[in-house]
Amino acid sequence: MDTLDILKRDRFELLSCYLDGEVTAAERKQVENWLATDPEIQHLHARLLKLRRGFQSQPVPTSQPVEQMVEQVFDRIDRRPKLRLILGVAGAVAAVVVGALTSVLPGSHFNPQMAEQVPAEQSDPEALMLALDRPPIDIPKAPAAKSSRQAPQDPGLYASPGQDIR
Amino acid sequence: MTSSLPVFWSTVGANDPQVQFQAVRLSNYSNYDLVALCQVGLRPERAAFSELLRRYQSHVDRVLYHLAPDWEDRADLAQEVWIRVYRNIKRLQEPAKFRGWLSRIATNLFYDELRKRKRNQNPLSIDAPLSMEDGQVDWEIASGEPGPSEDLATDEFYDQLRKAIADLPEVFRTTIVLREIEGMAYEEIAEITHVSLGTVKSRIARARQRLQSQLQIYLDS
Repeated sequence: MDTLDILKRDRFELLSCYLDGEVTAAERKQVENWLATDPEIQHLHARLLKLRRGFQSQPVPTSQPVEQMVEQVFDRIDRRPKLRLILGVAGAVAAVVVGALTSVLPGSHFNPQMAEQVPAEQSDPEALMLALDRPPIDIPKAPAAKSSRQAPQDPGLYASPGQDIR
Repeated sequence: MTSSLPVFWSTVGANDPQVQFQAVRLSNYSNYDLVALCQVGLRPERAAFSELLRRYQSHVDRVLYHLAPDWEDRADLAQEVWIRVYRNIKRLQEPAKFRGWLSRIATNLFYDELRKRKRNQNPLSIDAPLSMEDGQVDWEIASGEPGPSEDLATDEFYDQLRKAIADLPEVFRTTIVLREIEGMAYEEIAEITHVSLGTVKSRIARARQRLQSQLQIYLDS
């Protein structure tokens, strides 16, 4: 594409944007200047306006008579909730059948069983508070120089990760 | 007028809506009030929604016809548009923007369907023009010798226009249709077609260039 073509392309694109109101104030001024002085641009502008009118007034075949469209739209709207209801009922029936079969079959691996719940040991909040409040055993006071070596040998003094100690 | 609608509705809905609606002559409602009426209640009332459909069906037809000129099942697509409208009309914030909102639903549905058809390589798809890249639409400015004296309103012109639009490569056709038929701003078109603003400008200009060049004998008359 040579320079002349590029120039024409740019002018045409600007004219097209002007037609759609998608130009800056400076661009608008530029196009209006062309329209006032350039017969070729005037000619193109007139064509594009006619083209636009043709687009908008062009008769379009109807996809189907409007009353038929109304009827079919409501048929589909009315049908969909029923379809969902049917699917829901069918699912529930299937679940009941599967449940019945698995409970009747002897030694079935699929028998649903309730998990046994082991009662949690009763704990005394008071005792827990005391345990957290003070160490369970007395901590012997070691000489400062030895403490770093002795510490790992006494796991009772160290908290595991995540354990809250005070 | 608008503010009185809910009151009016409450009296209508109490007894027999069908009979009541016939009595109030929905055809006298403005488009705005009709949309607002369809937003009242859990679901749009049947008579009001039917009237809305009657008023705007030609617009849906126009949008789908230009976007998908060679699809034979546009009626099914149009039905699906109205089902989506029925389900979602309550979400429309401004009833005055119903037409644009409706166009958007039709366009989105078209793109959903287009993607499906491309995946399935449907023989009715409009893939063929896609092989053309953006740069392949000729930029030559026709000299435009005055052609035969033809009236813009003639059937022949419309027939040629229809063919010329249908022959545009898909990306150009959809872009110019979103602009000329749906009246979308360039930014909206860029968003819906997932391209830059510059590409939208270029595609619209190129589509116009090709159409005005092909139809010059009619446009110059």
